[in-house]
Amino acid sequence: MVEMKAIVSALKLLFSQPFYLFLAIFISIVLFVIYFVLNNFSVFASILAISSDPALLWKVFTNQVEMVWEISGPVNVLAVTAVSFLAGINLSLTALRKKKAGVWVGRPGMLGFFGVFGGAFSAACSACNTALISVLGLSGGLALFPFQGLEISILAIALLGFSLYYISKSLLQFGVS
Amino acid sequence: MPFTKKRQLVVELPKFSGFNLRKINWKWERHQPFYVLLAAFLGGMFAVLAAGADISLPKLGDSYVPSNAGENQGAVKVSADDDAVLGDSNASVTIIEFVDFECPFCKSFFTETYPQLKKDYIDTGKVKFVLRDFPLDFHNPAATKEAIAAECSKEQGGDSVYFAYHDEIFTRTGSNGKGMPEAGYTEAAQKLGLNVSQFTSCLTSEKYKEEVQKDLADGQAAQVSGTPTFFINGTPLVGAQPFESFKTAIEAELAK
Repeated sequence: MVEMKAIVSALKLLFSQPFYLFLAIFISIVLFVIYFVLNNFSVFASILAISSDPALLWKVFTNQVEMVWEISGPVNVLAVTAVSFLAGINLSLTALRKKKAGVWVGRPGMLGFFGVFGGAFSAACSACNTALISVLGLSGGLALFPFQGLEISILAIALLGFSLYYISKSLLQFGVS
Repeated sequence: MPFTKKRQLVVELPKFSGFNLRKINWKWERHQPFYVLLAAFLGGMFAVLAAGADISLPKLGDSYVPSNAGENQGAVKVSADDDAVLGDSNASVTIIEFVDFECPFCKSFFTETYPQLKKDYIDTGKVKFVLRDFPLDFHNPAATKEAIAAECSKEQGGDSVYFAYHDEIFTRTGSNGKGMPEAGYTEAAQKLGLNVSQFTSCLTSEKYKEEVQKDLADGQAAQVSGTPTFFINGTPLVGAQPFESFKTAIEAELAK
C-alpha cells in the first residue's frame, strides 16, 4: 500500500505539471513508434527504398499495427503500449526530479534501463521471419516464445514498474510535491 | 611484516572493487539519461539484428544485390524459375512472392491485398505474379506439405489450378503450423476437379519436395529471411504490406 501511495502521489504530481505530462506522452508515443518500426525494420526499410512519401509510410505503420493486433493478438500491442507509457512516465519523472531536486535517480534507475531495453524488442513482427539466427543461432525468433515475445514485454513492464516505484519513493524522500 | 601473495589478494580486492563501485554509482547518477538512451539504442540494434534486417536494401529498379555478395560476384537475379505464373506472361512487371502457406502474414496478404492487386494489375495484364515456396522450419511439416500439395495440383491442371489450390489452402489452413485438416487436401483437389488418387499419390510420395527445397534455397540465396517477401522487377518488398505499397512500386516500374 505504501508503494501504491508513493506511485499515486508521483503520478498526481506529473498530472499537475503540464510540461512534464506532455513530455511523458511525447516520449511514450515516440517510443511506441520506435519499438514498432524496429521490430518491423525490414518491412519499413524495403518500403523506404521505394518511396519516402509520409502518407504511405504512415499507412504502412498503421497497417503493421493493425495486423499485429489481429494476428498476434491485442495483448501484444497493448503490452508494447504499456512499456512505452511506463518508459515515458519514468523518463519524465526523472527529468522532473532533476528540475525540482537537482539530482538524477540513482541505482534503482537501472531497472528502467533494462525495461526500456526490453521494450525495444518485445513488439511482434508483421512478417514470419527466421529472426535471431544471426544473434542467437535460433530460427523462428520471437515466434519461438510460447507467447511470441509477450514474455519480454511483461518482464519490461515489471522492471519499469519497479523503476517507477523507486523514482516515486525518491521524489517523496526529496520532498518534491 | 611482509605480505604473502595470499594476504595481498585478500587486502587489495575489497579496496579495488569498492573503488570501482563508487565510481560506477557516481557515473550512473550523473549520466542516467545517457544510459537510458543507450539502452534504447542497444535494444533497437538488437531488434534490428533479430529481425534479420538488411539495411542495404537496393533502390527501386536496381537488381537485388545481397549485402554479403562482396568480392564482385555481381547481382543476384531472382528468377521465376519454372514456378506457377498468374497473369499475362508478357506483362512488363513481374512480382515474385516467396510464400509460406502457414505464415499468418502471408494469409493476411492473401485476404487483404491480393484481391485488389489481382483486380487492378494482374487481371488487366500489367503484372504477372509468380509464387515460389519458402516453407519456414518452424511451420513444418504443414508448410512443406501444403507447398507440395499445390505443386501436385499444378501437375494436373497447370498454373491456373495451382493458384486455385493456393486459394483453397489459405482459406482452409489454421496457420502458424496448424495446417489444414487431413481431409482438406483431397477435398480441395476434388473441388477443383482433379484426379484424387493421382493427387494423393503425388502428395504422399512427396514428389515435389525437391522442387520446394529448390525454391527455398533460391530464396535464401536472394537473402529472403522471412515471409511474405516480394520482388517487384527485382526490388524487394518485405512483409504483408498494404495495397498502396504495391501500387507505388508497380506504378514506378510501369512509368519506366
